[in-house]
Amino acid sequence: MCNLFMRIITILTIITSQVGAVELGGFLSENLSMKFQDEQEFIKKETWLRLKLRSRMESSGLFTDIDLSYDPLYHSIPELKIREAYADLSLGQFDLRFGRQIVIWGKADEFNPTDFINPEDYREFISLNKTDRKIGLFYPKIDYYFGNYKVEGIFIPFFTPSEIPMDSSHPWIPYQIKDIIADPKIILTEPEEPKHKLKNSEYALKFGTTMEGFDFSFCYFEGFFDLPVMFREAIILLDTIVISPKYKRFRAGGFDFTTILKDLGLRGELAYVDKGYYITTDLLDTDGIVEKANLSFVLVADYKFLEDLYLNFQWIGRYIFDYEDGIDEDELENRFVFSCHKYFFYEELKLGLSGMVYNLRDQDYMLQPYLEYSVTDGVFFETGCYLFGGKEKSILGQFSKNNCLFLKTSYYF
Amino acid sequence: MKKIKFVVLCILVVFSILIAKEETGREIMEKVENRNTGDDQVAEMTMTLIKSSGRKRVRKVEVWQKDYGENDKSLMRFLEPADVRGTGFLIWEHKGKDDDQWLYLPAFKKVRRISSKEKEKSFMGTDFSYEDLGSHNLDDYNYTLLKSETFDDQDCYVVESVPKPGKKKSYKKTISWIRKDIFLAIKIDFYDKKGKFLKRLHATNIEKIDGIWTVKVMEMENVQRKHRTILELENVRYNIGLKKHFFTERNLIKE
Repeated sequence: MCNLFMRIITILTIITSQVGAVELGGFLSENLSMKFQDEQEFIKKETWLRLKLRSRMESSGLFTDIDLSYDPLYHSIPELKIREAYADLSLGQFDLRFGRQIVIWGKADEFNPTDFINPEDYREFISLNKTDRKIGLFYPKIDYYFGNYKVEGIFIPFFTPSEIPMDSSHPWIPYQIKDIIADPKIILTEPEEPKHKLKNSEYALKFGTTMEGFDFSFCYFEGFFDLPVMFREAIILLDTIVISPKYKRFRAGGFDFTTILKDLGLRGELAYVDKGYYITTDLLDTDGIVEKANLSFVLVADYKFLEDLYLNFQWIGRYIFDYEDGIDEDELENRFVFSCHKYFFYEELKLGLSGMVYNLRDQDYMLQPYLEYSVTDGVFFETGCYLFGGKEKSILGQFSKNNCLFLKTSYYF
Repeated sequence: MKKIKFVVLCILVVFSILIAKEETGREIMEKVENRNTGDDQVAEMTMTLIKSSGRKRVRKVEVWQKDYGENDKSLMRFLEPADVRGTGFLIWEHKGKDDDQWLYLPAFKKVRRISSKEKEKSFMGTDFSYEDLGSHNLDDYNYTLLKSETFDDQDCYVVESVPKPGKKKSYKKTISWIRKDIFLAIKIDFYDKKGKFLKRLHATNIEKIDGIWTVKVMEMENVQRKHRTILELENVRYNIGLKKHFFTERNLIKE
């Protein structure tokens, strides 16, 4: 792996030195998280280096983002990831991008129902922003511009799933998986991934424009869910249940928009998915899963006051069509996210609070008060805490044992 | 007696002609706004933030601008500090209605439309606001020529600009020292919404580049916060032939 990495870097460096000046950037950060309970046990002790290599010419460019991280709590050796490594080429009204890349669709903030393209690494779903959680994929992308219009096309030849923690000692393992692993009567098989065939490739198309202070786009996607569906197979004689995770294919259409209304920023997304899969408690159901179409949406409003005070509110929801009793989720699910921050001393100090109520029924929530101080240009110190609450078996409430203090220092270069 | 009357009459006529020739504040500011700044321009801006303790921080951006008559467009790409490198800011200015503004944040890979109210805010944490650096709609203000005065060895008009009722602006008034020879502001005093003296701009190193008078160094001092910012322009080029569709999302997202 290291040899391969070194070869890629060497090749990229040679190519970039041929096409233009190479710009090196990135950051080095040290992250610590310490639980309030369990004798202040550490749940993160990470050193993280990101290297960005950029070389841009008039109509072409080469880009590489590489992460090298080491957390002795979870890895015996440093982990190396090539997040992105791609080439750009502009030909008239076309922009082509080819290589390992990350594309995030949707005009809303962290929750994007129309973001179908790249999978995520859920092992760090709390402490990383969404872009950093994304897993780079190898695919070509083509953008066509005419006037204020843009058409974007993506073809993903090979499926790559999201990563979820499967180790029961991992602090962010979901209770559903932890329960399966802990139950000796349940056998969890390896997920069945789609074979590398043309019919299993993924396609995405998007059309966007701006008109009279209103930006909007429509999109279409056909491909696989990045998380597997946990199908149940009962083996009665042995009194054992086998769970067979499978990646299922779906089609989706979406719309997003952004505008400014009386200094209030408004943006939103809507996505219709033709097949969603839900766990059912109906014992007559043979595989424990029902298939239903759904509509997901998000509406964001934000406002910036003159004195550097920023407020943000998001309403996130999902409606399941043709709902039936036994489905382990609400017909209409509502989540709320809010955040605010204020800068002080010419943006040297930032104080903020982020929060999320995941489900009104379970009243589970997460709060993150934080402080960020810019020691000097490019050097930051950040501290704060993650506070979870709610029912023990709820999306966020399950992590209340992980309430923790975090400390982060970063140097950007 | 008739001779005396004739002399007095001549003096009055000459004096009234002189008064008539004295330009009004509005005319002076029209000349400032309409002076040749080229069809388009590109430059690198370095801003040094200086605290009263002497501690310094540096911000650097690359700026492209194009004059579309009443609708100027500009694109900025942040070069320093490293944590904001690649951030893009696109502005389509409109006369008589709110500007369109978009921010591209490479850390989130997203383009975000932002309120034109952002113009009143500090530009990258400096003592300049986006409004200070952008162009102005002449019709939004009432102008008064206060006097003529020599500043930095230059003969200047001193013009007061007060926003018209109903126009939302960051300042209650500004007083500008305009060089009479080239109609360029070399000093501006800004007064906050309560009418208190807030900050002072001092322009120096004025050079003719590609036939256009250009301020290469501006110092903005916020007297209330005891903080100042020195803005230096480098690699200034005019009339480079930027295409119409340069100022679109396509270029905004190019890190």
